[in-house]
Amino acid sequence: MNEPQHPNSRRSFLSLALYSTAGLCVGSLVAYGQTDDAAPPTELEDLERFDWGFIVDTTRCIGCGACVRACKDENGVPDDYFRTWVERYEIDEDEVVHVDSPNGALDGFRSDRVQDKHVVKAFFVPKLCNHCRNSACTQVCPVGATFHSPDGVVLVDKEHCIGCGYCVQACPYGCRFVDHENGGTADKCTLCYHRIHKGLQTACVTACPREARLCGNLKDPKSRIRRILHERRYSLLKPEMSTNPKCYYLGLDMEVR
Amino acid sequence: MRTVSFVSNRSHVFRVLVLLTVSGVLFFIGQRLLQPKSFGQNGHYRADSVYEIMNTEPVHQGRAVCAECHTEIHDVHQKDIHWNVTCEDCHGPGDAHVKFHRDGDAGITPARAVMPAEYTLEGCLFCHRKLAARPSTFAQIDLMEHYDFLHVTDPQTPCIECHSPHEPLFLLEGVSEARVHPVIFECDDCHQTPPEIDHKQVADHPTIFVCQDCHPSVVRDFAKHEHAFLRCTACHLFHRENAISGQVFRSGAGRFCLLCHEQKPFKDDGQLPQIVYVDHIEEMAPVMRRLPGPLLEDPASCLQCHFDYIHDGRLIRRLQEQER
Repeated sequence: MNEPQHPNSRRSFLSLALYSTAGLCVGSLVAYGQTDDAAPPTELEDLERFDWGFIVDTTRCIGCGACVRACKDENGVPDDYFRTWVERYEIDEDEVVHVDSPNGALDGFRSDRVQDKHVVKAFFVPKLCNHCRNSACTQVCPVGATFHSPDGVVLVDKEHCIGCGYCVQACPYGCRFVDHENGGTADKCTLCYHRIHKGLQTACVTACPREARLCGNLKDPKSRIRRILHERRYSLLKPEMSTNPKCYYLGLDMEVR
Repeated sequence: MRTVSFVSNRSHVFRVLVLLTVSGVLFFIGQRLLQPKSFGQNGHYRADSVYEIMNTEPVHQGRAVCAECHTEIHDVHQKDIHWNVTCEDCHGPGDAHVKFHRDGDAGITPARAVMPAEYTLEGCLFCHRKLAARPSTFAQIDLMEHYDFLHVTDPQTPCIECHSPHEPLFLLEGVSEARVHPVIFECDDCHQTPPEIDHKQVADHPTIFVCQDCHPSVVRDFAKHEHAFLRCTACHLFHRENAISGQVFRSGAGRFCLLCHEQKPFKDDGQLPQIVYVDHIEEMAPVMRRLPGPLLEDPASCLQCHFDYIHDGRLIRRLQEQER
C-alpha cells in the first residue's frame, strides 16, 4: 500500500527538481532555435574582400572645414563633438608650436592665431578615427559593443553599447565621444560605412575641394589608395602606441601628435 | 569494523555537482536568452549591427544626382576651376530635396525640400581667406586689402556681387564686361587642350585680362626693346597672393638673367650674349665705381646697367623712387 506522500518529502523534492531540469532543457532548446534563422543579408565572404583604409594629404589641406560640415550633416553628429576635425599647427620664430582647432574647424579658421610673432611654418592636419588594426578601444569594451567589422572598420553597435566611456578614454587619438543627445552611447567615425558599401566615397572625401582625403580598399591591388601608398611617402600618427593605424598621412610634420 | 557506503559518505560531492550542473545550465540558458541575436557569429560582437549600420541612407547625394536635373548649371560649374567644389559644399546636403522632387512628397514639407544652405561671403572665405597655415600656392586674399583695391566700402559685401557664383573665376556680366580673373593668362589654364584659334575670334568668349589692359605704356615700350620676343610672364609671375591676388612679382635678380646669359660648357655660345659673371663684374666694377664684392652680392646688379635692354630706363628710376 502506498502511503500518502508528505508535501515536503524527499521524493516530491526530487521529482520537482527533475521536472524543472527538464523544463530548463526544453527552454534552452527553444533559445537555441531562435538564433538559427538569423541569416546575414550579405555574405561574410563579400565583406572580407575589403580592408578599408584612409589617406590624408596634409600638404593639400587648406583648412576650409568642408569635411567637418559634411560629416556633421551626413552622420548627425551633435554640436561640440566631432567625428572628424581639422587642427592647425603654427610654429613661430622661437620654435614654439601653437595648435588650435576652433570648434573643430566647423566654421573654418577666421584669423591667424599667432599675430605678434613671425610664423616660420604653419599647416593644417585633418584628423579622424584611424581604424587601427590593433585598436585599444575595441579591446577595453566590456560588452563587445565596439568591434572590427570583417572589412576592417572599427564600428560601434549602438543597440548594445552601455555608454560606459571606457573606449573614449582608451583611444590615444581622441577620436571617440559619448553622444548624450542620441541615447548616451559611444560614437565615432564609421568611415561612412553606409556610403562606402554603396560605391560612394565617404562624406568628407566627397566634400573636400582639394582631394586631400581618400578612402579605399587596401586589399585591392588596383585601388587608388594602394597606388598612392606605393608612390608617396607616408607616416602614421603615434606609431609608438603600436595601434597599427590604417589612416595614412602624407607630408606629416614631426610636431603632429 | 563498520562498513560505510561509498555513496552516502560522499553525498556532499554529488550535491555540489548537481548545484554546478544546474547553475551551468541556468547560465547557458540565460546567456542564450539575454545575448542579442547574431552575437558571436563573426566575432565578439553582434554580426547584424554591421548590416544595420551599412543600410542607413546616405544624406549627401553627390554631384551626379544634382546634374540629373540641374544639367545646365552643373556643366557651367564643371568648366570652372572650382569644379571639385561639390554642389552640396555650398548648398548643404540634398537628401530631403531629392526625395521630395524625385519620389513625391514622402512626408517632406516643401519648406524642408529647399536646399538648406547658400553661402555668400563667409562661404568663399572658408577656402580663400588669407591664412599663414594655407599652402602658399593656393589662391587666398586679405579681404580688407581686396576691398581697398576695389574701392569697396561695405565690408559685408558678398563675393558674388562681382564674381559669378558657379564660375567664380569669371566676373559677373555687367560688372566689367565679364572678364576672366587676372590669375588666368594662358589658354590652358582653363582649356584642357590648347585651342586652335585666338580667343578674340570666339564670339562669346569672356574678355581676358592681359598685361596691356592696365600697363599699356609699359607693354608698348617693351616691344621696342631687345627682349620683345619674351612674354611678360617670363619674368613677372602672378604668384604672390599675399597682397591682392594677381600682384606682379618682379624677378630682376642677377641670377635670373644668368640663367640665359652665363657661359657654360653645355651651352651653344653662338646664340646668346654670354658672360663669365665673376670676370664681368671685376671688369665693370671700376666703371660703376663700386667694389666687386658687394656688387656680386647685389641682386639687382645686372639691372644697374642693362635696364634699357628690357624696359625704358625711366621706368626703373620711377620704381626706385617708389620703393624709397
